[in-house]
Amino acid sequence: MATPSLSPATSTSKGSGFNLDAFLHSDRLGDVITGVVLILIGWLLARFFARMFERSMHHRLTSHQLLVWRRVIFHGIVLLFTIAALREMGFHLSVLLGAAGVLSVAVGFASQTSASNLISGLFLIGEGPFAIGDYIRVGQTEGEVLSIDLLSVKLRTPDNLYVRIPNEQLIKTEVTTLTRFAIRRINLPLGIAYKEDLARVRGILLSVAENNPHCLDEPLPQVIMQNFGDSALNLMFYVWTRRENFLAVRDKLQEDIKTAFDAAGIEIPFPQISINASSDNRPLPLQIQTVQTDLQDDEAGKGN
Amino acid sequence: MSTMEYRQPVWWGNFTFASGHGKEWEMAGLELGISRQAREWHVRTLRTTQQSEDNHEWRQRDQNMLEETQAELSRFVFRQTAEHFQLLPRLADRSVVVRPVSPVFVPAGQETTFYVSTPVWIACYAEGVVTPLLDIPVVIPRDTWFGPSPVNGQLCYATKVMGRTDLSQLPPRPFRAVTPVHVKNLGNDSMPIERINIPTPFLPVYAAESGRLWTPALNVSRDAHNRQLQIRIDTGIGTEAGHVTMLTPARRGSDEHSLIRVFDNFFD
Repeated sequence: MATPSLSPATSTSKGSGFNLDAFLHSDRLGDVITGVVLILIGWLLARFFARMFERSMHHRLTSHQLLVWRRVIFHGIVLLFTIAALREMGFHLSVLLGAAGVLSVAVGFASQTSASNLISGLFLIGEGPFAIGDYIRVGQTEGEVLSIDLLSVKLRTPDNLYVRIPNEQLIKTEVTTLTRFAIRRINLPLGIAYKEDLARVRGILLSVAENNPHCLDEPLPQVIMQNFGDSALNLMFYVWTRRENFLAVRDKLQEDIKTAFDAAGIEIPFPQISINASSDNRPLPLQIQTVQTDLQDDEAGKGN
Repeated sequence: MSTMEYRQPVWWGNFTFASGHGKEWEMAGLELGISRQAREWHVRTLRTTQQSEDNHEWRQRDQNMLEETQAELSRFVFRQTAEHFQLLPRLADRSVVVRPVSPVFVPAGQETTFYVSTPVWIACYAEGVVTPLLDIPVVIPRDTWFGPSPVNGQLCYATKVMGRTDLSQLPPRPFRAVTPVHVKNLGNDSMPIERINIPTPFLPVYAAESGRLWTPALNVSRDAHNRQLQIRIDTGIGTEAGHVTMLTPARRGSDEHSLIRVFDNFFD
């Protein structure tokens, strides 16, 4: 039976072009439909099993581990069904893999950045320097990790901005995980006047830490003399606290130190410069001169 | 709550509130006001800025004066409030590290009992509700870290103790519970006791007739050959406490794994 072709573009009567008419009436159509159905079933099953895994394991695993396992399950199932679908459609996998090898070189050159990010992403997931929910600092950016994807890591900054950082950058630069350990040290630089009694200042600072229940008793708070500054004795006050309390304790400590210093009459000096005119450090000579103004001259003239 | 008669007034117990009425407690710088409405319990708290663990004064008023102040209010809404309300002592929700004021050593072959006390929390229970409406420390203890390094260890509370071995020298304190720690040193050298980690979440609270609060004892023995410590929590209260009544159970069951983690570094 003669069947009219659908359009000149999709149908060829001779030569090596694609013959839709023949294709529609061949067994291959059935194979392609079977393949597509297999991929769809695979996708649905992958979603189902990944979600089921997440629901059953969310109490036992961290959110980061859940994410990694969910992806492994999802992509594993999809891959298996895709391979089965391709075979069903009549593709020879060995030929495809060979072609993929050649193709990957071409694609690699064309998309170096993406490939680099992808490989960096795999290293990040494997190394695990931070997990979802951790608070990290990358360069000038600080934020909570929302997701670790194959190409990038997404952060939420404290001012509620969504920041995407390419994985390649994370592998190359210094990344600080602020929530890795349970406790953190607060470093408070302080300057006191040269006339102050250092032992007394130490006592006041340590009592400020002792009166704050959120400052850890152990590791001990410390007051370290840093150097003799231009205008002040520079001290560093080290106090440990729980990482959750870091900002609140730092804020409260500085307020308490100011109050305690004011109460004890301890001076926190401003930057100041002493100018000496002579080699033996004598003060600059000052001479007061009477300036005769024009007005005085006028009054004197009127008087005359 | 038992109906045991105490030799001195105690702050805990079962209290009756008429609708629209309140009571107020002042405990070592913490003011606690509780009022009953037809469908709500109002709990107000106010802390003075300078609380001290050495302050053991308390008093109760049959009127909630905190209603007129800036005290922090928590409202607990019910279908209908019942007239009974309980205040009970509980131990800390984290382990408490006690540090003797001066260093203590147990020589080889010796054994002794230290009576150490840890701060208590106030738990407020409305009738018919199992979980406390409010669970706060009377005096907020300082945080501390207990472990070999800032990386490995556990977050605890810190408190200073005298480390007394004679119970009669230990004054009764309404806001601290006494834990006897029996230490037996079977090792070949002296055993220094600089800090002791009391696993308070695993300890129930008992009240003696004298009004003193007690917990079961901890038994610590040091092996003769290796330096490992064997630690066991007593199931009951020792005879030194006299007749006691259990007020509150432990916060956490004696999960074996948790106990091992707590006791790995019992002594610093």
